[in-house]
Formats: sequence, C-alpha cells, structure tokens
Amino acid sequence: MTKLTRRQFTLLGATALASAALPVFSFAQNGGKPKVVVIGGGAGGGTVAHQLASDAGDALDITLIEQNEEYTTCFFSNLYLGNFRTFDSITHNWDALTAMGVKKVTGKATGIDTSAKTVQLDDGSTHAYDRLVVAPGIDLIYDSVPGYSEADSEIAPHAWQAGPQTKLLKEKLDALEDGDQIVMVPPPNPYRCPPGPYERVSMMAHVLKEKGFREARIVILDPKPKFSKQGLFSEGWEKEYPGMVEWIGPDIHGGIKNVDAKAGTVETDFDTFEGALLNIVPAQKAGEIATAAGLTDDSGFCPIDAESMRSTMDENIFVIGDACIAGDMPKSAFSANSQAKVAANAIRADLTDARKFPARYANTCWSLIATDNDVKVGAQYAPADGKITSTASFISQTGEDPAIRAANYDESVAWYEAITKDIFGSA
Amino acid sequence: MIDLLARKALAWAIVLFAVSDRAFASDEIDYGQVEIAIAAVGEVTADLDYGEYLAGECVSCHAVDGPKQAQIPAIAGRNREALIRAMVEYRTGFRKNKVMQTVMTTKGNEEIAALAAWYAAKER
Ligand SMILES: Cc1cc2nc3c(=O)[nH]c(=O)nc-3n(C[C@H](O)[C@H](O)[C@H](O)COP(=O)(O)OP(=O)(O)OC[C@H]3O[C@@H](n4cnc5c(N)ncnc54)[C@H](O)[C@@H]3O)c2cc1C
Repeated sequence: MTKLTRRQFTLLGATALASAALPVFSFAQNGGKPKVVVIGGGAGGGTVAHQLASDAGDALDITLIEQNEEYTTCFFSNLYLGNFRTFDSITHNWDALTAMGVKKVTGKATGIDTSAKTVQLDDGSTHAYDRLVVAPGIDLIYDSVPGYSEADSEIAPHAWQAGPQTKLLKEKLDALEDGDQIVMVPPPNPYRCPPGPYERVSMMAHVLKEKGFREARIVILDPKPKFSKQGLFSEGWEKEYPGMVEWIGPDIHGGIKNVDAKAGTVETDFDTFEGALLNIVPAQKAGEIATAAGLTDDSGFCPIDAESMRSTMDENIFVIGDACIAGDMPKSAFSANSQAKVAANAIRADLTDARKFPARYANTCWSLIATDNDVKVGAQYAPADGKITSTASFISQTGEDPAIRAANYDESVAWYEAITKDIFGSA
Repeated sequence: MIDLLARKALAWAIVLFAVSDRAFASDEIDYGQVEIAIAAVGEVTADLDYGEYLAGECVSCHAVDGPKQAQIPAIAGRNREALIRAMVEYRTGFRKNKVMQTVMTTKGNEEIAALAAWYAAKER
C-alpha cells in the first residue's frame, strides 16, 4: 500500500516570529506549542484537523471541539434514502484523528472571547487558541416556512442535518403506500448542497418505482424560480419516473402560506397540497456559534478573505464550509474540504516555517437520478475582485451517452471513499 | 505465487483504468501538439513544496493510498512521465473526463511539473 510521507513543518524561529507582522502568540509567552482550536468536526473542520495533524502535528497543539460522538454525512444521505447505501456506511467518527494526536473534546462551543482568545464550552470549560477555525455548518431558520417549527420536524422532517432526521425521513418514505403523495418544500438560496433537494426527490421516486407503485406522486413546491441542474433533473424525471414528479415554481404556486405538519398539508396561494409525507427544508444561516462570536454579517453567514479563508472580522479566526460566504462556490462537503486546505496552508504559514501558496479551490457535486444515471457539475476557483471566483466549470449534458452517466456513479463512489478518509483520517 | 497473482491483478487494474478515460479519448486532437506540450512541462524545474500543496486537491478524490474503486485510480508512486502525459492529455482535451479536464485547465506547466514530481516521489 502506498504511504505518503509528508514533510513535517516546524516552528518559526524566534527572530522570524518577532519580525512577523502578527499579534503576539500565547505560546510565545508560555513556551508551549501554538494552539489551534477547531470548532466542528464535519467536512470542513475534520479536514483542517487532519491536514494539520498530518504535517504539523509535532509543531502544533490541535484541539477539535465537536458536540457529537459520531457524524453521519449529509452527502450520500440521499443514496441511503434510495437504498444505495446503508446508514452505517455514511456514519463516521474521529478515532483516526485522535490516534494522530488531535485532542477531540466532545462538547458544544457556546461562546468565543476574541480578545482573550478562548472558546467557552457548555460544560463551563474554556480552551485557549492562537488560531481558531470555525466550521459549525448551518443552522435552520425553522420559521422561515410559515407554520413550520423545530417541533414539527419530528412529523415533517427536514433531514437537512443528517442523523436521526435522515432515519425518520427514511422510515416515513418506506411506510408509504401506492397512491400516496410526497410534498417537498426546498429551501430558498443560499443553502447547503444546491442540487440536494432534487437528488432527494430522485431517490424517493426510485424507491416508489422499485416498489411497483403507479399512483404515488411527488410534488415539489419550490420558493425558487429555477434550480441547480434543472435541465438534467427534469429530463431524468421524465425518463426514469414518467408522471410521478411534478415541480411547481413560485410564479404558479404564488408562495407558501402555511405548513400544517399534523394535518399533512401545505397551503399556497394557488392550492392546498396534501401529503402522506411532508419534507420541509427551511432557510439556512451559519451555525449559531458563528453569530454568537460576531463573525456573521447581515446575510447570516461569515465574510472571509478569499486568499486565506481568514475571517474579515478577526485575524486569528478562519471560517470554512457552509458557515462562510464563499463567493461563487456552492455550500458542499467538497467545497468545505477544499477551503480547509487553504485555511490549513495559511495557519501553517502563520505558525510554522511552512510556505504560503496562492489560494486555489475546487468543487464537484455528483447527483444520482436513478441506477447508473448520475450527473455532475463542478468548477475551479481562485480569488478575484475580493471574492472566491469561478475560473473554469463544467456540467453534464442532457441526452449524453449512458456509459458516461454510469461512469459518473462509479466516480462518485470513489470520491465518497476518498473524501471521508480526507476528513476523518480513515474510512 | 500469491504475490505474483496480486501484482498481475494490479497491473491489469492500471491498464483497465488507462483504457476507461481513454475510451472517451478524442480523435480530433493532433497528438503531435500533445507531445509538444508534454515536452514543455519537462523543461520546468519542479517545486516539491508547491506540488505537495497542490496535491491537496487531488487527494479529495484519489485519496492518499488510492480508492478501491478503479474509476478514480491511485496516482501516488506512479511514473513521473506517465503522470505528466496523463495531465497534459486531460488539459489538451485528448483524454475525456469533465472533472479532470476542468481541473487541468487551471494547471500551467509549473503546476503539472510540481504535481508529477511530488506524486512520483511517493513510495508505492
Ligand atoms: C441531502 C444533502 C445531500 C448532500 N450531498 C452532498 C454531496 O453529494 N456532495 C457534497 O459535496 N456535499 C453535499 N451536501 C452538503 C454537505 O453535507 C455540506 O456542505 C457539508 O457537510 C458542510 O461542511 P461543514 O464542515 O461546513 O459543516 P458540517 O459538515 O455540518 O459540520 C459541522 C459540524 O460542527 C458541529 N457543530 C456545530 N456547532 C457546534 C458547536 N457550537 N460546538 C461543537 N460542535 C458544533 C456539528 O455537530 C457538525 O458535526 C449535501 C447536503 C445535504 C443536506
């Protein structure tokens, strides 16, 4: 087996430190290793911790603060709904990172004192940092959907944060009978995984079709006039699930007026839709800790410097993943993983003798429409005009060779294996 | 004996991969131009630190030790010239894969030289 032996970065010399135009580090006073604290162990935070532990583990003290004991990936959770994956196969933990020397603290970060450079946890403990990475993902704005609430998500799941919600949606999907209707309300922009709602509809349709249902229907009541990979999904639904999926945009339904989770109805200007299953995905904002620490702007997300992923609000803090404003990049696990590498490079350059290289980012999102019918969209990005800007991109074509669609699926499976290793240190 | 079989299987896996994206290879592209581009990369001095940084992008899909799925092959420890050739073939559009073609559009000769040198230096 191939073993990549990475170079180990060491601390900056005292003179280099003194001359660097950077604030005084706590380690310079107490003589210890510089401390990097990461809040959130998901696609972004896990990758940063893994990156730093791989090549600067001897020079840095790395702490990962994560509220959960395990992590179920939202990516491929639609494939779990569609019976292409088991729940176990999309659930991971941080044991491999711990074995590499990352200190995993299980707890919820409740506050950041940016002048003392400490993170407070719900158990009252504090953790000092020289550099802090904030990667809490998203929080849902439940009341952005009239009538919907967090309590209602136990009846009408969003399943936009993976775990129990994903299992609940799967149970409800599997319990449907022929003739039943699913009503999905996708979120408004910006939200995590732009093609996600439509891949989900495809996977739910796949399950209904496999059961031989002829009368079951899926209605999408979209707050957006158009959506990601629209041409590809529309073509795919028509081909794979004729007559089953109906997408209704805001110019027709006129806006969501009320969701009654208990009654199973979604009221719009146009009509009231009944569903044996309601899948309601509200609007989104950066994870609460980012707001609590004053890292967000009016948009509810965190502005960053496109060259480094450093917060524009605080030079000792980096914000990566869904919580940040990443210009042209979509909110995806691939993006979070890519941003983590730029942040890790900047942190290494701040704290060790490593070189800083120009920021470059990438993303690819695969979406499964049906067995062996997988479409993809992707791009390269670089900083330009003060934001992360797309420099090259591609998207799958309608009517393309089925062999390409099948190869796309195999690619996505290989990607999942690789990226989860890159986030968690092992599969 | 087992070792020999395993090695044969590995060799075949590599050959099969090479075929998979090349199955979509273009016949419209003048391979002479591809050869010229490959030679130009060979002229560049490789910066290994830069290669290590750039490789971060590759690892997201290729993993460090290579995924089990042959659709995205392991690239660590492969021959430097072969890596340069593959990357230039994607950049020129001779090899067809939308992800790899897009990835390579933003890689100049310096980036390809750095990546190839860094990946080739890894033990297999
Ligand atoms: C249905 C669906 C399908 C998707 N499919 C894809 C796909 O195919 N490809 C793709 O690239 N992306 C996909 N995504 C998007 C992807 O899941 C997210 O973009 C990605 O997880 C973002 O990473 P992150 O690190 O920002 O946040 P997360 O991965 O959500 O990680 C945040 C972590 O922080 C922890 N946390 C939050 N607040 C605190 C706190 N205060 N204290 C301690 N811990 C905290 C959370 O517990 C969590 O573990 C999909 C998303 C959905 C919903």
